[in-house]
Amino acid sequence: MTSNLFGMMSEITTMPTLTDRIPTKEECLSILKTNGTPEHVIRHCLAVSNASRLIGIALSETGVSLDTELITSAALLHDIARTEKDHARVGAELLRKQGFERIASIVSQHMEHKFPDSLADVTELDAVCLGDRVVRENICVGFEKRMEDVFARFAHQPNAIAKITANIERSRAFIRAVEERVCRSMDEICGATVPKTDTLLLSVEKPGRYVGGEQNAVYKNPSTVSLRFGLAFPDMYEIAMSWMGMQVLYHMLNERPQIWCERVFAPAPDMAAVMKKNRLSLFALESGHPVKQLDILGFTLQFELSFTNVVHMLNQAGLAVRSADRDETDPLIIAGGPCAFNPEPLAEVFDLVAIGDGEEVLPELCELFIRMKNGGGQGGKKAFLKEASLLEGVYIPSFYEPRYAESGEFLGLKRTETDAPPRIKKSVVSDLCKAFIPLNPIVPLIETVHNRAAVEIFRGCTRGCRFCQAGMLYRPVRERTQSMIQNSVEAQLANTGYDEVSLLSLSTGDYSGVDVLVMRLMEYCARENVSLSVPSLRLDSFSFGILRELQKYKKSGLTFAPEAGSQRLRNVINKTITEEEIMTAVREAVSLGWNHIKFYFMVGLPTETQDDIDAIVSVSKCAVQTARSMQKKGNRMFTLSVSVSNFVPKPHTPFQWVAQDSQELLHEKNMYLKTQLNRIKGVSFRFHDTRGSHIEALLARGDRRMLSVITRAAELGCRFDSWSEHFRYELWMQAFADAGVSAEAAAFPIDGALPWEHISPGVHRAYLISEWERARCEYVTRDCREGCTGCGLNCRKDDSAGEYFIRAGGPV
Amino acid sequence: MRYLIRFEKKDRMIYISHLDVQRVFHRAVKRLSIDLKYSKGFNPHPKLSFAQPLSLGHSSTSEYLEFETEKDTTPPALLKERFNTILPRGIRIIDAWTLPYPGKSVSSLVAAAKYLIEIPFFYTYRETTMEFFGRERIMAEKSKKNSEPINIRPMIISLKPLMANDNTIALTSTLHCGSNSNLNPELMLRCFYECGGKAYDRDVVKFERVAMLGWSGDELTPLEYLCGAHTERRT
Repeated sequence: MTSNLFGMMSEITTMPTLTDRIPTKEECLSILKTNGTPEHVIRHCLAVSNASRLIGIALSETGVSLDTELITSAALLHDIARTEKDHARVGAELLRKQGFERIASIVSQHMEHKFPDSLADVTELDAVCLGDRVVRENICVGFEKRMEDVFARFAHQPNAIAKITANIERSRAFIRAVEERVCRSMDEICGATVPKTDTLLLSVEKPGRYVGGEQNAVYKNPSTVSLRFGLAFPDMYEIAMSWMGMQVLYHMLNERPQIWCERVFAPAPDMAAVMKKNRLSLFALESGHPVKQLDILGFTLQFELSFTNVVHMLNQAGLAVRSADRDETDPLIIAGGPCAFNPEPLAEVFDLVAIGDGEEVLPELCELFIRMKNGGGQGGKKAFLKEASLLEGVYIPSFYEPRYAESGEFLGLKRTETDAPPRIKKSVVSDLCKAFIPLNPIVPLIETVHNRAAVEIFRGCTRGCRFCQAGMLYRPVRERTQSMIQNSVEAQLANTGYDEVSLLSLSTGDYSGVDVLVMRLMEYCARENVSLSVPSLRLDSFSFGILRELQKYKKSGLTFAPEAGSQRLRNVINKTITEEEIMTAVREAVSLGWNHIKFYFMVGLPTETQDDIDAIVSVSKCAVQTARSMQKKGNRMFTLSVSVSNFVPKPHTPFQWVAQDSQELLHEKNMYLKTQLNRIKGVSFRFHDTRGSHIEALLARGDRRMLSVITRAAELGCRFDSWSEHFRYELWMQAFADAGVSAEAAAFPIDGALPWEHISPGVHRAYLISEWERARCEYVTRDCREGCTGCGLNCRKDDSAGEYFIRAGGPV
Repeated sequence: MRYLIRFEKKDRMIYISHLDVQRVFHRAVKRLSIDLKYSKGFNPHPKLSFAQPLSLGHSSTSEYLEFETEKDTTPPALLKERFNTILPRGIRIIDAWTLPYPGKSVSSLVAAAKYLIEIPFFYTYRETTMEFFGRERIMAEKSKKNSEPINIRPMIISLKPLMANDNTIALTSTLHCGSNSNLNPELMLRCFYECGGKAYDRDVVKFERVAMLGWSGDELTPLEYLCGAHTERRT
């Protein structure tokens, strides 16, 4: 009774006054010390102060008006007199004498306080009391754990238990209200679940990779969702966060209240070592929870040289690499992305592989998962996979078995489940305007490769370059409307504060009405002090019109991609640009004020001869001369950088059957170019590691036997293979030898079975064969915007293809 | 209008660099549509200036940021509120003020900073502190590049133990800070450990900057009192 009366009185007398200031943390510590408060109590106060502060901040972020400094300091001083009888009153008295009225009021009430019924009545006192109820001694353990202690203490006093239970129920209701308001669990809010990586992070490079907490990252209460999804990218944070698909899938899944999608990235080698030493599991970035606690872990396979990281991440998560070795309690491990179009090298790792546009198939899969889980989950994973295999774009590797000839030749896949489809058609978003587009992308705190807003303006490409896998996989072309693009750009910029926006596609200049779109966006961006970047422009006269406008505002680098040096070889690869067009583009660029441009070529293309390589040199020389002849005296000397990469034959392209040049031969070609190009003044030359390209080719076209190579390589220490500083070719060679798999990127017989042919991107085998034959005859095939070329998608329902090929000549 | 804000950098945000923090504020300003003055030139960028960078891994309750708007005259208290609704968890504005015209840049006023340093307990910490602070010269290599050792003793204004328990010692220290003379508390602490004959382990030490100070006559005073910041009564 007295304490209640006291509480009321203190409320009346604690109207904030000028003298009622809040002591800093430092002052609080010194007050505690002067008062002789024992050390273990101070430690307790520090822990409560931290928990209370986090609760206060979480609530203020949702608009509740709370003074977090008052909370922090009051919590720090709440047990100042704990050694005394009636310590709340004594402590308050002591603080009031020093002029800390508001703090004294909180301290006086902290033992008897009852939480309010409504969040509208929440005060700093509630935050302090809640903080006090989640801390055991000096460790934040969470409310339920803390209450276990209380029950234990009063176990032999039934009367007390009844009273306590009523109180606890009231507290629980209050906690629920806070959780709902903040959209996070109380354990998470008060820091009871924060992984103990805190001090570990000081010893690793770029610790910002591992902390999350970025603007627009989504935090949910795990107890209120039905499905916890981990979106895994098998590379480091700064690579992963530059991938637009991450933003699409992440926000698309998180829009659904019953799903919490978190991100999972590969820790850099230094962090991986620290985690191993401290026995920390691979964790989800948002919750910090071990990956094992998730329901589904979905890997995106963007490039082959990330495959060893998939193995490492599963190891780090404490999960078996092969699906057959995992059990019902383990998360479902799935994959998607361009490399999933030949999933065989990792087929035995994944329970399920999603083929094609993720916007279509992923939500369907998640909904099915939730439906079956809520239905009791009878039949376990197997039942789910059987259901899932009926969806378009879903491949269940365990429902198929490879067959090999005695010679070792791959003969095809045999179905082991009768209902499994013989061919898996990719799932396609038919209308990109209806597809999900992220308007509030996560904004990384640390520097990433691309740290900017990005809007995909269309998917697919009509050019039909024969080496290009993306051009084959992402057919047909689907455009977003101008107004949708413009609205998305404006929304993304408003929600992120980015100062750069990029338009994404495989060939931006091919977008219908690209000039109008770019002009409009440029006006907007100039007004908003945002720079607009338009990559993947083809350098025809049309694109230069756009560039002329763009460079008034901001000058960017300029890259030409003739891909091959000679006209003959450009015909072979169906890159239809002529030498005259290249030189015109150079002249345009110089006249617009560029004095540096970049050329991009490939070596090792099918049918390549010495002449084709020499042509790279002569084109480069000609470009420099052309540019120089236009420059006036006093201009900075024109320079050209020539960048050469090594051709890697990819599945589902017309070149899928060809052998790759040996690593040594590719290297020789690069060295030759280096010598030749270095002789030309103003030309600099860059080339790619041929050994990496060799491994990439082997992984890209591997069958299921490749997994033993990948796991062996991972075991030997291969990881982050796309990073030159981490790539270890000799270990890969050893892995191939140990696994007894040939390390020769040999040709496939054109009439034989291919390991990836059960996966269908919609492009027909007959078309690929025809394109391969036309390539060898050096016949070009038209851009299919001009009329169908009969690839098999039949996206325009137009039959002109046959006729065209008769007119154009060459094999049909 | 010229504004000055004081913010804290805590929790997970201690793991992002000074450059990252600059980007966070650039974006926040853009999102809030604050019409910052832009620098003139070919590549205009908004003028935001931080009083002093903070080392990665250190927390702080006392970081200062100064900026100037074209026309915006939002009251500082409202500005603080608007910032706090969008800043990432761990970075929070504590105070906001307006600054008078003309005025010196706040970064030019910084002379010292006060730190709270938590280190693992060891018995001789009092003796070590006395001996260390009592030295006339403390030679240290400031950076790897410039290996010429310099005397850091004049840059240490104060150093004293604040409290200690079975596992932790809390020290407070005021050190030179700013463009004229600057001493990183980590370097000071490394020398402190050397003096006590102890091995220094960065992983178990915590640094928190608790104040940034400038000279007012011969007294060190928090920055806001030096630059004529217009404080508003807190409600």
